[in-house]
Amino acid sequence: MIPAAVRHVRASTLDEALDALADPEAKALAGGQSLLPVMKLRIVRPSLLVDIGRLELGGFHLRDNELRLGALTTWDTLESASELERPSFAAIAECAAEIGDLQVRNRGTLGGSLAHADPASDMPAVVLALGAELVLRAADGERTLAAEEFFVGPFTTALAPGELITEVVFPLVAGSGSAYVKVEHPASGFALAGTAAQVTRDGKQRVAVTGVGSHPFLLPADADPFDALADAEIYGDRFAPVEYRRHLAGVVARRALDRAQERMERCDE
Amino acid sequence: MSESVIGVSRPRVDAPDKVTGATRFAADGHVHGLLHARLVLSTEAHALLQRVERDAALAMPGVVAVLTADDLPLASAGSDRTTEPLARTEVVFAGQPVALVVAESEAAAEDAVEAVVVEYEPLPAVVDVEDAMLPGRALARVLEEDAGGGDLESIHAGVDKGQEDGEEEQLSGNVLDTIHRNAGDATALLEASDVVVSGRFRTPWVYQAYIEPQVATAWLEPNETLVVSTSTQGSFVTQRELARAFGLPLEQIRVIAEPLGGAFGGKLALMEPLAAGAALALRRPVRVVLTRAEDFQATNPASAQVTHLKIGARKDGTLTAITARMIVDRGSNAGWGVEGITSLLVAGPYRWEAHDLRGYGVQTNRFTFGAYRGPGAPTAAFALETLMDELAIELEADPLELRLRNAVVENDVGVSGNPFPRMGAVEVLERIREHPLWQARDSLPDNEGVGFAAGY
Repeated sequence: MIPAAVRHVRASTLDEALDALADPEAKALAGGQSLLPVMKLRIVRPSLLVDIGRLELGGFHLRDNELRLGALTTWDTLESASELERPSFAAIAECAAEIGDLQVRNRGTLGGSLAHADPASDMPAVVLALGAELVLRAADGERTLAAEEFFVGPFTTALAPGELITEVVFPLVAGSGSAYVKVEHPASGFALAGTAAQVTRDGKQRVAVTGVGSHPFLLPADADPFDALADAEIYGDRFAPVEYRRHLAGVVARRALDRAQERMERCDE
Repeated sequence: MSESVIGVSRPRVDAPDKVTGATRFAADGHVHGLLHARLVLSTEAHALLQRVERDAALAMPGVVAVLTADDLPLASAGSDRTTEPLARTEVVFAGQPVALVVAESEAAAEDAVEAVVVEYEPLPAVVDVEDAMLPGRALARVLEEDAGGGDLESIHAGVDKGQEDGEEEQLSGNVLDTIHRNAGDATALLEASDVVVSGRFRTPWVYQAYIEPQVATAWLEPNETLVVSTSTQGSFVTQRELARAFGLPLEQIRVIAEPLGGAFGGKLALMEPLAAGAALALRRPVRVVLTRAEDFQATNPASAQVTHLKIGARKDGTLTAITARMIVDRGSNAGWGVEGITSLLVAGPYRWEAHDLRGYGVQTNRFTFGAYRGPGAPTAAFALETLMDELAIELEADPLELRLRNAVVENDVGVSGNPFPRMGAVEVLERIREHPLWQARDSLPDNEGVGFAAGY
């Protein structure tokens, strides 16, 4: 439970952080709630930690047609943000409130969790269902990537070496409702199956599933969740075998859709 | 007459210190010149230990020693965890301590553990307890005879062991102990019974899950007294076990039982021989603290068990006979088992006209076995009480009345052959009968129910 020896630098500007991250053995440290546990188990052993915790990458920017969240926004901030009370974004706050425990939510960050890409983490389902885009910065420039392009495998993303997530951009879909529902492992709190849903006025549905496969994924648009999951590649383990998990994913998807629908109907946007 | 203290709430004497964080547990104490030991655990379930390559670890900064069994001043050649705290020549479970890395800091020790290379010659691993019993099966231990359990057995399984009949059954050498209790012709009586129910019950290994992991610190006083400060359930048994391990007189060993962060049967002389052995070898204070992951792998959960049970009754609800075959997975390295007590308790607090109860203690390449909260009792009650409910269904009888009709009272002779003392089985069942929850059991919402199970 003691990490291997590691150097630590605290970046005071984004450029400084990106320069330091050019070292292929470096890892970015934000809230540390995912990275430090795996370092303690020595599953991950970077030689350099680039501490980005003091960069100004937090906060909300709600504009006419989008919500921009800084990568260092903590779960605690998302959980209690008045901006996220509107039905379109309710899934974000609802999801954040169910992550880990109080200590984890005080430290853990949006960008850190997405970059870590634990196949059972919660927020990836929300960014997928709400059609978010990720702003990625490297020393030589910036690009924007749809969430659907970002998650590619267990703990594996489309982040290039040296790249940092700086912002997550959620489009405002006027009059929509959203929700996140999971059944969690009672000890770890991670999702055995978790789903985020978005329902719009014109009857369109987007559902994303996490915790059941190699990485979170979107179900085909407007499909019945049980049908859509029938052929999905589902992972099983000693806690939840494949077919149980497949069924569970369908159940939480239906619940998320129902709740998103309710929220949409109450919406006066 | 003074007022009764029963039923009156009293503050716990240790509560203020614990609530305010003032309690100092065994890993908290400051010891001058302390060295920190970390364990190298076996990655093989069953193997011959070929070589422990320690040079790379010894070359790392802060590392003082890499100790194997030969480096500890052990007095005897036993193969339980007191006399063989580190594997000597044969590894018998995955997670068995193979070497101790001792360093000036925990971090240095943990770094160096990764640099120790252990070479194994793998042997067939015995992991299925029922299969392991069959004649001709691979043995879970090929080199050494198992030693006795020392004082540990008397703490948790000090019961009469029934007749030892070396009869009939052909069994492999993995079966270390057989128990047979029998009276009357149980098989014939079951055949003649109006109703018979039976089942096979498999229960897993159970980790005691104390919050404070295993820990011990040992040092030598200037007068050569070996002092061990530890998280233990038994300071005197630990003192005797250390005397047995290192051939020291009792008066030269002092065991300090620190405030206990949970134990539940699991903390009896596991870490102390390691810390004491290292302290004796290096003549410096040494602390061993397990991480949770190590504690899961390297300690002594309660036995897995397979129970074949059959019981019968007459139409009027009188129990007739019970037959049991109880296979206790002793895992590796333990000199004792719960097959004796579990095959006694499986008869429950009931009268039987005949019984035929067998217990088998079987070695495998699983964990070392340890005690947990009434060793052998929950596994026995689980099997019997499940069948008692099934019997009630077959008889269309009330499960409580069925038990009451057959519950033992003072001076009834149990399957041990001894009369029961006053034990309250009838009184307890009668109180359940009056309980509002039991009274209302037929008017509960769908998918809700009330059940109970007896045990002693």
